Amino acid sequence: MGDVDADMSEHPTDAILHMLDATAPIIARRHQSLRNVVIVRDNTVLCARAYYGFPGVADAPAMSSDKTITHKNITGNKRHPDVISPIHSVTKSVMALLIGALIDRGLIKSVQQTLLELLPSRAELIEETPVAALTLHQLLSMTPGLLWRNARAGLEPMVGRMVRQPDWVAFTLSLPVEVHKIGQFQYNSAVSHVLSAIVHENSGQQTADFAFDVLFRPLGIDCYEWESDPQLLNIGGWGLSLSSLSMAKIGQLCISGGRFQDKPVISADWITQMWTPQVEANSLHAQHQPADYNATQYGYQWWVRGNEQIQLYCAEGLGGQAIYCIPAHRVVIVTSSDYPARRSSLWPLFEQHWIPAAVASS
Amino acid sequence: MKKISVRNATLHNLKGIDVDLPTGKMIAVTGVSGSGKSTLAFDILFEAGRQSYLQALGVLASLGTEHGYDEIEGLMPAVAIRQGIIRRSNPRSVVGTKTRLLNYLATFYADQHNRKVSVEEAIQPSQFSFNSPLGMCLSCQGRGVRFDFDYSVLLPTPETTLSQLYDNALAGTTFAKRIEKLQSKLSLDPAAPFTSLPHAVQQLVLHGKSTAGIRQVSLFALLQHRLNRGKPVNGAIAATVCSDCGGHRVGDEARSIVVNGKHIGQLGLLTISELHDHLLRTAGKFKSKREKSTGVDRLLLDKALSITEQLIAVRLDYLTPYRPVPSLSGGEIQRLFLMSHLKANISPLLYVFDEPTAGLHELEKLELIARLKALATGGNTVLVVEHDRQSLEAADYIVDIGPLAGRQGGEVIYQGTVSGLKKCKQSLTGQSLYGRIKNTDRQTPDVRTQEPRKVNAKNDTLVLSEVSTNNLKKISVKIPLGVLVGVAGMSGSGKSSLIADTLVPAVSAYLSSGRGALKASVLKNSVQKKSVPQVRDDSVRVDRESIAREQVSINQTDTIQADTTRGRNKPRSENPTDSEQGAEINLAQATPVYRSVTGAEHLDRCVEVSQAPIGRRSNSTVVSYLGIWDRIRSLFAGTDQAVKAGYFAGHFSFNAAGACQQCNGVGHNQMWLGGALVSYPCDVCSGQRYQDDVLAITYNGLNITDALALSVAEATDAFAADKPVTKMLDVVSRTGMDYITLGQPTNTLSGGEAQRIKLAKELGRTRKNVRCLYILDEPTTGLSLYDTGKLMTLLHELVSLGNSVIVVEHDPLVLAQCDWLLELGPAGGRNGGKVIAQGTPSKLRQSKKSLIGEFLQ
Repeated sequence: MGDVDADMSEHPTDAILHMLDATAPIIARRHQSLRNVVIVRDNTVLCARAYYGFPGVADAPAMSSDKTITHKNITGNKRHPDVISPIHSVTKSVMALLIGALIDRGLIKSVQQTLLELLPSRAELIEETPVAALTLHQLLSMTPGLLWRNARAGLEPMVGRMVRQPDWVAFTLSLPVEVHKIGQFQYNSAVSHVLSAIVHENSGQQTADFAFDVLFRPLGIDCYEWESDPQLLNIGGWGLSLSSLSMAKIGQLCISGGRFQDKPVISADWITQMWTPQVEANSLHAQHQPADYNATQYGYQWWVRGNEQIQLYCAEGLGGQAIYCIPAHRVVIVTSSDYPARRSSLWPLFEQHWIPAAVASS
Repeated sequence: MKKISVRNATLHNLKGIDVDLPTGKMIAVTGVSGSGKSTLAFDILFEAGRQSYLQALGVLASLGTEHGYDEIEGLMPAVAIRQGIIRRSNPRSVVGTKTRLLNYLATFYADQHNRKVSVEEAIQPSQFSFNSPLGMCLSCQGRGVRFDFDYSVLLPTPETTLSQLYDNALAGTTFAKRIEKLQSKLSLDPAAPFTSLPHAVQQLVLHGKSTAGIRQVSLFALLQHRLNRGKPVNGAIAATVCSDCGGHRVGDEARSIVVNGKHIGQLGLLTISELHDHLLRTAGKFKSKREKSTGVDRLLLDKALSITEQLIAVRLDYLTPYRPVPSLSGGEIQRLFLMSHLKANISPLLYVFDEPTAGLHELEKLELIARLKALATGGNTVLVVEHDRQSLEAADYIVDIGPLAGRQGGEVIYQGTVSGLKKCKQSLTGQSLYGRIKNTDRQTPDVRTQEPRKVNAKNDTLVLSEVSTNNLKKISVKIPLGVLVGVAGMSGSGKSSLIADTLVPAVSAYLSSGRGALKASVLKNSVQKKSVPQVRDDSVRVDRESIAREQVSINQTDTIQADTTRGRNKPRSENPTDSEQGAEINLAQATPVYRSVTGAEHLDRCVEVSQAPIGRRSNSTVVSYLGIWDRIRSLFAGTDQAVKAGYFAGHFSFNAAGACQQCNGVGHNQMWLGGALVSYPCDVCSGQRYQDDVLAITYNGLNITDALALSVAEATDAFAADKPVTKMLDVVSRTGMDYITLGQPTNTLSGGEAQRIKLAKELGRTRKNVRCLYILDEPTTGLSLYDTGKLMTLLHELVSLGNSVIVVEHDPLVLAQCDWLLELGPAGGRNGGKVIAQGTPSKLRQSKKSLIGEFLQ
């Protein structure tokens, strides 16, 4: 998608067109919070749809400019694939890319470095505690054994406790380490926030500024927002707002071995490392566990799913934000949705429509 | 008259008995321990009642077809409260969670907060719970105490090496191989001082890590675990009140929400009676409309108040909501559960209680018995398994099972009213009850002097001065040594504060310091040679008054240290109980507050024999706890058959090589069926736990499973050839527990049984010329009068060997046989804590101040 910004028009294949027809009524009926579906193959936008949440408009044509938005009077253009909205936990996967950028630049040595080494400003707090010895690898793979709990649907009740604290990072670093759980997967947004602290401390920049320099600017993403914690640190576990098309660019970067428009942005080594399964993800994410697939695994802030036929690398955020990368077929599928809203899993759409149509188009 | 009729009961040792029980009455089932009274009350009557209503609800309750009786008529739904079932070792279970008191308070606090804030800021009740990650103080994980290394113990000199560091934490032997492995893997010089190692390596050792390549167990976690399990750690790790939450267990958020001047953590540390008053005042504020009420808050307060009211009614007013359930005595636990039923309005039910009066003062028993009778008057049938004289006399109907234990029991000796029991010559209970069997002779001559024991100026004494631990009112006590001393007093009067919380730590501290330390270590070595672990208390003892007060008392402890430094007995660590003996878990235990202790030099050891359960795993058995299991397995491994088959002792363990492959030696499998966990025998070994080849090997005609099924009495015959085994079994018999089977899991023993097994183990290895102080807390719980006699014989025997024994006890029969009594009181909590009488039993009988005196006959 060499000039995505300039040319956002769709280049749908027959398979995509067929898929759009087949999914429209399903989306109108069951997925009214779904906002955009963007499918990119080999730098080409196969589809960039906006859905409007009610029947009859769900199949509105793709837009390349405001003029084509026929229902502006009802919804404005807030559903345009080029309009930013919170990507929730997809932020975590962006954090992983930023860690890669730090390593690429030699700002940190390796994922085996400990928190004591990576966060000198917090040394006083964590010295003499088991937290000091936790490694970047453990944070990235969500296996540090920090006391944390999941509720239904992968929600994290402890996040509520964290956000009421004046210093979220200090809170997270003060969590007890359950030694027997070190090495076990425990989804933990606070851990991703510590990654942001690591980026901030080792880059000497605000996380968002570093992200712009090393990632967004090379990708041509100039419109984004990033929420901060009370210490003005950009939130690592969520908080980033991107457009669906920007998310597609991030996916495109990853399936291209870290290159964008033929320029290296992130090292290919890091992409490989980031997508290497580190740990089996536990059953609390079973709702994301497709029946015909092997057990879901976790790499570095990315989910890894697959079976004999297909391997998916997924960034996922609350309420239906997702970047699905299928490097074998050079395909990226992005969704964005309103949240909160009545939610049904998008997986059936991925499994039965989007992935087959995208793969068939490659 | 309506009645419950049981016909031809044959379960366990029952010999086809018929029993008719009047309904709507209070019935006492009595008999010597092991006679079969619990089988009748719990395994037949309660089980049948439970199953009938579970089936009515459509729940599959049991797959068992064998009920052990022909017929039961007239039965109603049954509720049972039994010590053995209730006792648990989870220190996170506290009085406030068991009674749901803290749950109501948490909901109340959440409601109070939420109606002042917007929806987004609303919080959940779990944010007030120390057991939830949402609410717990994160520094101490809701324990109220923090664990910290004592580096002065771990690294006494800059030259201390890695393996010395482990030795200092008493973990050197266990980890010898791992230390070597670590040293070779990281190419460390074994002689290098620990402090010279790279920081990362130090961290690895102290806090562990499990990344690729190296897997190192955290010493911190290990020692914490050991401390929790009551194992000795040499003071290398210490528990102190958490500095973040001040012992309040909940996080700062929860502590920031205050209702009527107190946050929920403060409520957790109030005694139940203080909490009750506080909640009444809070409720008053809503009533007087000084606080706006939503209705829900009144409801929650009422719920909480009804719980505190009931706790007060069963005399548990001195406990705090944060008091861990495992630290409660058997009687306290019983009453904790009794509480919720005393107010139950469903009837008619069959209530089955296991010694409800255990742990109560004679005067308090009367109140409880009145409540039980009221429950019966309300239309329920109340069945108590009891030995207590007052309870038996109050019962409308008595069933005596006997005459003796095990195979010599299982018959109905008597059923009828109490007056008939007195006349029944066959009934050991009746005869003991009315003094026709002289149980013991207090005048057992001292082995050294061959003279009857007397307490006079010649006795060495242990003097504790100005003790103010918990509710004690700066009392000074003089305890004669070399005799049997009884400590009496109402529940909560300060008996445990004086003995378990002050005397034991003070003496232990002395013994592990200075001259004492030398002795203790000599002793430790001898213990290790015999490889008999120390008797210890697995429970977590927690201050019953207030942990917050501990912070104050810590300062006072400093003064003690200043005092004692001048004397000979300088405590080694800040926490005087944290010594070899006192390794008994003392997390958040009341800090002993006293001016001085003198006379401890007359002692060499101090052993507390508690009622805490032994282990929580079902694969620890009586015989393994007693330390003779290895010998028995060796006997099997030594048979010609076993030698031929190439079997070692390990093959005769169901935890090791010999285990049935199918069930891994458990003997049964479990299945989740219709809402209930149903267990059924393993289909490969049919519940025998071993492989067939192992079972084929016999010793004296018994295979290894048969051996585990032997009662102690039977095993004494079967293993007569082996002296060490029979010696230990003989001691167990003398404690009155010859009915117990060798393979009984230790976690199924009642509190009283566990205590006697510990005592037996202790007696089985008594050494000469070691003057030991034995401390027993309510040793007669669970004992029939007949068995109490046997226990007393043992205690007298210990004393006559030159030891000292202190029993904390309510039973007047025991107290009357002591050489010296110390009575605390007059009441519980704030109204107690004084010495109201001391002297010989005959002196107390004449004392006007003594409350127990009149019961000492």
